[in-house]
This record gives sequence, structure tokens and C-alpha cells, in this order.
Amino acid sequence: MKRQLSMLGGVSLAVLLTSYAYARGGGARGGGGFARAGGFSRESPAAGGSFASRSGSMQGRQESRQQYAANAQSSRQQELNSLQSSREQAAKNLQSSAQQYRGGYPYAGAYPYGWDAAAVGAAAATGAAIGAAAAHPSSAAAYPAGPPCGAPMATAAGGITYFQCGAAWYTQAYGSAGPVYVPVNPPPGH
Amino acid sequence: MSGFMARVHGYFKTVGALTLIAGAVLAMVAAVGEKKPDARQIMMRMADYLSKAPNWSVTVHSAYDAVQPDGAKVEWNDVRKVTLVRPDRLRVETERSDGAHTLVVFDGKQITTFDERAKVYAQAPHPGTVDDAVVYFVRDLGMRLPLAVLLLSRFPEELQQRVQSVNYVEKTMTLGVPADHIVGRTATVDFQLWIAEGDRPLPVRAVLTYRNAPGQPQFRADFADWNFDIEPLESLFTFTPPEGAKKIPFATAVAKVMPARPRQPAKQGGK
Repeated sequence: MKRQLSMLGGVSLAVLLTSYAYARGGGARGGGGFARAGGFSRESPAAGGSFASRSGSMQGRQESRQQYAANAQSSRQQELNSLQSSREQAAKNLQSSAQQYRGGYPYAGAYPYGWDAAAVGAAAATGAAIGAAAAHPSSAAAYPAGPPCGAPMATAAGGITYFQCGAAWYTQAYGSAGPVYVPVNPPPGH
Repeated sequence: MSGFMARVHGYFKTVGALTLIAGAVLAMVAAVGEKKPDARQIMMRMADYLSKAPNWSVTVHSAYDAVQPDGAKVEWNDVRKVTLVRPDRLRVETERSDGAHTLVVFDGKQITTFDERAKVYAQAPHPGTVDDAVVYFVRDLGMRLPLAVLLLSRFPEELQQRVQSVNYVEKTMTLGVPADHIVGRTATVDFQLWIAEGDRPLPVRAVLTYRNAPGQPQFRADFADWNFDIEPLESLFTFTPPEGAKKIPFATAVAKVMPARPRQPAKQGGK
């Protein structure tokens, strides 16, 4: 009988402790281009600190695109399903304010990334900046931060300062992360 | 004797049964008491609070990973002092880890960004609210403004629109104030937020993971010195170019207005 009693008490205690532990658990737990210092790239899709990201870095972009496509394929349907109702709701909510944005509806063409998707975070690896700029002329992030050649010849024309490196001309402009040199047409007369 | 034993036996059976019942009840009470808080509600409360506050300033210590060509990650960091006066004043001063200082100022009419080291600034007219200016600055001018969404008066709507799922992790005391730790996902970013408990549900920490980018780099931010009782001077939002500073265009404008012509390769002579 003693054994029965001790078993009964043990079981009760175990149930109590297990139940309490279960109640406490269940939550997610766990641990929880432009050459600068030493030639390391500062460029990263994470630099934008955005809650959306349009692309990965230039380096490995092709691979990431394929990977993304694979990932996106499976999540897209789920995303569509889960967001269908909220999108309709959001469309209603934002309809009135949409007109104030240049270019129309703020999410047009960008959804689900949003207006602050990390298009500005495209990378330019050290030393490849000029080539990257030529390959991706619309990506401000791909322009070099420093003069593209050792001693560019400066020419002022029409209020703009042009810098000549061989046959190429540049002007200084403000890129996503700071001043950069952007390739431009030669100034008039050159 | 046997009757006595039977009574004792019955007594202990009853006690055992009652203990079992009590254990189950206690477990249920504990389960109810430990019910996880609503993570989305916590997140939206924070967004509502920030979006409705007319003026505020905060210091943000942030860092992000840059994945190098060899796959190694390098962390870059900076400190930003953000001052916001709704509807149309904004100032963001940044000190980068390499000592560079930059500035973004919006005065309700134009938005200016200045690089102190290079002594250059770019300026674009854009009359309107901070909401308008921030979207224009980031989307149209292609400029970087980390956590820009926090500045918007429609921050709650932005979160509702983007956040697909959000879950509660735990309550923590390790960040200086009691805070709720939540995790969530947008279509492309996994995020974690630590939000202060109480009547001022402010973000204390944020970690964003770009899960589709190579190396899954992170952006991390720690918020300090939140102040909702500010009366900044108007001069704080007025940009006066320092002597010798040169005005340059935004790169996106250059790319649109005066793009370089693709050069024809030199014709090979001969036959």
C-alpha cells in the first residue's frame, strides 16, 4: 500500500510539474564597392535598414536570384492567400492618400517590397565599381566614391564640374551612401 | 483492524485523487496565467504611439553586416540622432564608425543631405510633410535612411501592410527596461523587436535579417534617449552650407538627366 501511495503521489507531482512546465514553455526560444577601411565593402542590402528588401548584393546576384525565385515560388502562393484580404483592406485605406505620391500609387509595381526596398543597397565590390556602373547605369550604389582615376582633369561647364579620366567623363553626385563619381556625357565642346 | 486499514486506504485514495485534480487545476491556472501576450497588438501599440507623437528625438546605435566577396561578414556601425517635428521638420545627424559625419535635413520645403568630410551637399525641393519627404528621399532619390518607416505618420498602416506574421518570444529585463521581445516576417525580411512595457511602448532594439540576400546579412539598432518633450529651434532644420561646401546633384538625377552615352568600340581597321 505504501508503494501505491508513493506511486500516486509521484504521478501527481509529475503531472503537476509537467503541466506547469508545458504551460511555461511553447514560446519561441533560443539564443538569441566602396573601398573603405582595409578595402572591405560597406555595401549591403542590410545597410538600408528597411523592413523590405528587393534584392541581394551584386556579388552573387545571379545565384541569389535563382535562390530567391525558388524561395519565392513556394511562399508566393501562401503570401497571396494570406494577404489577399489585407491587401484589399490596405488598398481601401490607402486609396485616398495615394494621389499625393509622385508616380501614383505608392505600392504600384513594388509590392510586396514597399517604397523603401533595398534597391539602394546594391553592392559594388571594391575595384569593380566602374565596371559595375557601366553594367548597371541606374544603380547609384554602383558608382565609385573616389575619383575613378589618379588625377582626373577637372573642367567646369554650365555650372557643373566634369572630371576626365582618359576618354571617360564623370561628375560628382550624391549617391545612396555618400558622394560618388557618376559617368556622364562629355561637356559641350569635348 | 481490517476496517481501520480500509478507512486509511480509502483516505489515501481520496487524497491522491484530490492531489491529481489539484495538480491539473494548478496547471490550468498556470497555463491561463502564462498565456502569451498578443505580439501583433504589442507591435501595433508601439507603431500607434510613435505615429501619433507630434515631436520626438532619439539616438540610434545601429550596425549592419556587409557580406564580402569571400563570404566573410564585416559589421559597420554608426550613431544617428533623429529629431522629428510633425508635420514637416526632420533632422538626422549621423556619425559613421570611420568618423564621417553626414546630415539629412528637411524644412518643409526642401530636403538636403550633407557630407562633412567631402564638403558636398545635395538638395532637392519637395514641399510637403515628413511622410512625403521621406518617401521621396528614399524611393525617388534612391537615398538611404535606415528605419525610415518609423518616421512616418502612417507607420501602423505600413506595418499592417507588410507584416505577414508576428509572434511573442518572451519578456526580458536585460535591456535596461522591461521589454517584450517579438519576432515577425515581411515578404523578404525577418525582424525582431524589443518593445518597452508600460504606457510608453517604445522600440528598445530591432534586428532585421535579409533572409533572401546572400549571407543573410542583418541590420541591428539600439534606441536610446527617447524624448517626446522637445522644442527644437527652427535653425535645427535649416541648412546653411558651410564655407567652401559645394552643391552637387543627386546621383539618380544625374543618371536620368545626363547619362553617359554608351561608347562605340573603336572600329577595327583593315578588311
